[in-house]
Amino acid sequence: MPKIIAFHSFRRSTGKSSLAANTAVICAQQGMRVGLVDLNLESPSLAYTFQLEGQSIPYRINDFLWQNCTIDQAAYDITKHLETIWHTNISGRLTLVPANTQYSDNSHTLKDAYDIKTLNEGLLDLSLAIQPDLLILDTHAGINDDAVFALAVSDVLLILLRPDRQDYQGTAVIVDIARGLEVPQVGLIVNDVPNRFDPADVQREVEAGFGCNVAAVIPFSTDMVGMEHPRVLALEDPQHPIINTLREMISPYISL
Amino acid sequence: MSKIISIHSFRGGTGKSNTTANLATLAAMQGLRVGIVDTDIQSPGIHVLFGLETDDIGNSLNDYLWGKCTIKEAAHDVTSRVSPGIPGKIYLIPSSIKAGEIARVIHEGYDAGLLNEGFSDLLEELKLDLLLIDTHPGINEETLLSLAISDILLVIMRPDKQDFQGTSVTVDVALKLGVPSLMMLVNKIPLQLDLNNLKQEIERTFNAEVVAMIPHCDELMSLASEDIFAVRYPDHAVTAELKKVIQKMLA
Repeated sequence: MPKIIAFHSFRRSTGKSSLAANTAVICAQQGMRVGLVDLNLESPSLAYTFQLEGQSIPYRINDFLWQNCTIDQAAYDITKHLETIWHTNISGRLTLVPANTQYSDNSHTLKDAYDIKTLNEGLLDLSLAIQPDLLILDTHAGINDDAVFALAVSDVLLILLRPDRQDYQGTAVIVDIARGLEVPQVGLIVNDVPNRFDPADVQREVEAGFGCNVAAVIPFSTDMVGMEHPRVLALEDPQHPIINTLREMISPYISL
Repeated sequence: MSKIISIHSFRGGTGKSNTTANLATLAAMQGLRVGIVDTDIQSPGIHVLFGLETDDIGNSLNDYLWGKCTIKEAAHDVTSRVSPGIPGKIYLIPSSIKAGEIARVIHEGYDAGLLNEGFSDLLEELKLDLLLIDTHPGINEETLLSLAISDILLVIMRPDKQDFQGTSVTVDVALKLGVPSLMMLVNKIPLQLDLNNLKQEIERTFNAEVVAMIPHCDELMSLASEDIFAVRYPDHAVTAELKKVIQKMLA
């Protein structure tokens, strides 16, 4: 199996998908073969982030979970697509397994719980089919079966939180679960840090509070916000300070 | 006359909990008796805004749904935690923050009908003027049921394309359910956007009244949920905007 990195958070809207997408791009830019799986079935966004609407996407992970296709039929090598849209070169490869953004179908998937074993076999089959160096899982926030599965299979768990008391309590619960599941490496990413806060203070406070390594502190920024689509800074502006921070953050986790 | 108000957004992270806590506080400051039910079972958070730590939570909504207590026994009077001297009352029915209890409800589901019974019990037994329901985002069975019994649905959205798409789903559902009053609140608006144009665009798109336009607010973010914004910043423009929402709700 390739190394599996999961992005998770207790509260929603912490920036999971955005950071997972950018991290996947950063790793592919370094020559890695990366698989990115959208496990956020309740609110999927990766196909949207990478501007795949209008492209032919006959199958998604939802179809796989409903056993309407194999996992490799729901996996798309989007490297060329990204190179074309963003006028850039990517030396590695990025394969995306998108989730359905058709809202009506979502409720179907969520309501009739699928077998978690199917998902596990799917990741194994996906690894055989696309031979990735790295699998990145974007999860649904909170405590739910999909998320616990993602935690349980990951080698590295990156937990996002904002410097906000509503995030702190829940994050402590996630950290506990990760310890219980014996996730080999756990890092916290403190995102959306107000600019008036000192990042070093935030890091110290969070590390002391959770007894857990802080992998990155990322200041609040509207640079990822776009009118039509979220901006993928790793493609658009690879030297952006946030991308440099992510690149530094991920390097110890992906070195062999 | 008492009113049930569901506060919903299609996507997460729109500021539902913060807005709900502030609306409840502003209503209580006017002397009203307000209840809040946190139905966001997967990732509860609103109790934090009222200063409830894990150990301060006795019975939770989970206990009520499992038949371990009445809903009134899960109601926490948080009025004095908000600010001393508030003439009204704020009762919070929190969701459990314990991992095992969250997992159990998610796994086993719960009787949404029981939840609705709980809402009417609360109105009656605590003599509430307003009951605010902090919902889980998206459309699911529980959300549909709370929308169906609401007098007012307050939909919160951010002005981005994904929220626009999702919000139209919520609005369609609300119309089909015949929710008597639909109000929109636009939150976290990037400062460079023109508020008037945006408001017109949203009212045209959803054919619903926009009751508040709230720009991104550095003070709110920096408050880090340590306190209720409307208490800390009573004269702030955001507080004034939220007061207008209360007036509309009571009208």
